[in-house]
Amino acid sequence: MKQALIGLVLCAILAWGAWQQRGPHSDTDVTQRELFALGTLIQISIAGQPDPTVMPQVQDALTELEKRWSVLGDGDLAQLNQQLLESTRATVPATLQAGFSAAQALCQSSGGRFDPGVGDLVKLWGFDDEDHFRDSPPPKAEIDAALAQRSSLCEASLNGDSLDLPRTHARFDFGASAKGRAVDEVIELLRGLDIHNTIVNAGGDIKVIGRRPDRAWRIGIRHPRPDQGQTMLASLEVGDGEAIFTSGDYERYFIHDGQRYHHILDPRTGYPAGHSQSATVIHSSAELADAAATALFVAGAEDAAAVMQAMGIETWLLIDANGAQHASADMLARLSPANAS
Amino acid sequence: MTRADQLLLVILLIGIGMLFRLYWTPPRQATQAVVTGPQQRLDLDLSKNTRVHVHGPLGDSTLEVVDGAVRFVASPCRHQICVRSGWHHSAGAVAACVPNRISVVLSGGQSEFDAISY
Repeated sequence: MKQALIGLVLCAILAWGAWQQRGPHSDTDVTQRELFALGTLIQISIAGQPDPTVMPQVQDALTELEKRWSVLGDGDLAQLNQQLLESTRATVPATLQAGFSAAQALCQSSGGRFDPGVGDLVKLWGFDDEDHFRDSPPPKAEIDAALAQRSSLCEASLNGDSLDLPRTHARFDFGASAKGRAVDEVIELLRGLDIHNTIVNAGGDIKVIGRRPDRAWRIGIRHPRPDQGQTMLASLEVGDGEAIFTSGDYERYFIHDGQRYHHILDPRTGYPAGHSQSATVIHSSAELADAAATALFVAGAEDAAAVMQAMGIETWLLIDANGAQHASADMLARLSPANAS
Repeated sequence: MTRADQLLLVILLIGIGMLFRLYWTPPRQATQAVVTGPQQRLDLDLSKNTRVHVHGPLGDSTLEVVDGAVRFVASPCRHQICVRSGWHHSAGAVAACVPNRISVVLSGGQSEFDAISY
């Protein structure tokens, strides 16, 4: 009887220990909210319980950023594009100047692989708007014409609020950097609201600050060609202030005559970049990570290392068109194989 | 050691095994999905196969749960990004039909990831 009692006490201690072990690691310690903005689902995960006023402020900030950078409607960028229809000169509003300046530097360092001056091409391919979506590629003559008439941001003259271009009808689309810029701004907003442990996940493009109560934030990288056995390529832990951005050919695309036409256009050819399936970049600036993920995708394996070095990126991963993996030493050191999930 | 002691030992070992399974090896797969539309919120138990329709500004999006996973089966959006995203079963996964303002968030298991980069 005495032995039985000892056994029962041991069992009770084990159960208590197990429960204690489980409690602090529970997902209930992280508050998650979802918002629709910037053309995607934004998920904010905050360790602990934030003040109820936080999410409305984030929503307001995102609404303002979306209006500012949208090519549609009557926001700042849409109005600037309107000016450029008939003119080679435009005044860049104060709200857009920093984004234009940063994007021009990134356009140049990427060798034109990231270039917001693709607005007409994006529109021609129908990737700018749900209503323009098409199921076959545009005629080659139209692509060639759009390519000939476009103005690259790389070659623009940008002095303060003055933007000068070589030709009219420029149309800028910051779809490959504005989301990163917005994520940076939301993270700063959250820091200002005394939130120090959070993830901002803008449709799979992520920046974190701090950590969970029990460990660092852990991010899975989606496999570009998932199957039932493997949906994740790898995982890694991200530290305070790091952004991880992935560009892939698997979301916005159409199939025509058995060929996939996706939304990541090579600004130099006017066609979807054909060297890659997905590209992932880590950097402290989400804006830079956003642009660099696009540039890496366009570059492909052959130019990947040189382009990433020119853009100041040390941590990158590329899956080429054949499914082969290429990565920087920094990235390889951080990746963990994903389980079959 | 008597036969009663041996029996008790076996029961205790089984008990410890059950505790380990319950608490130290929580499921990696999500156990529930919260589907949110502009005027609806549905809590789906991923252990029960089902099919639901959620109304959005473009019409109805259809989601189904099969064997612990959830997916968009159909949605009235043109890009079909939500449908192409396929099955979701990991806790922490999210999917959405943005034009139709409908999202699904998986939770309830032990999250392997806090977010997924894609």
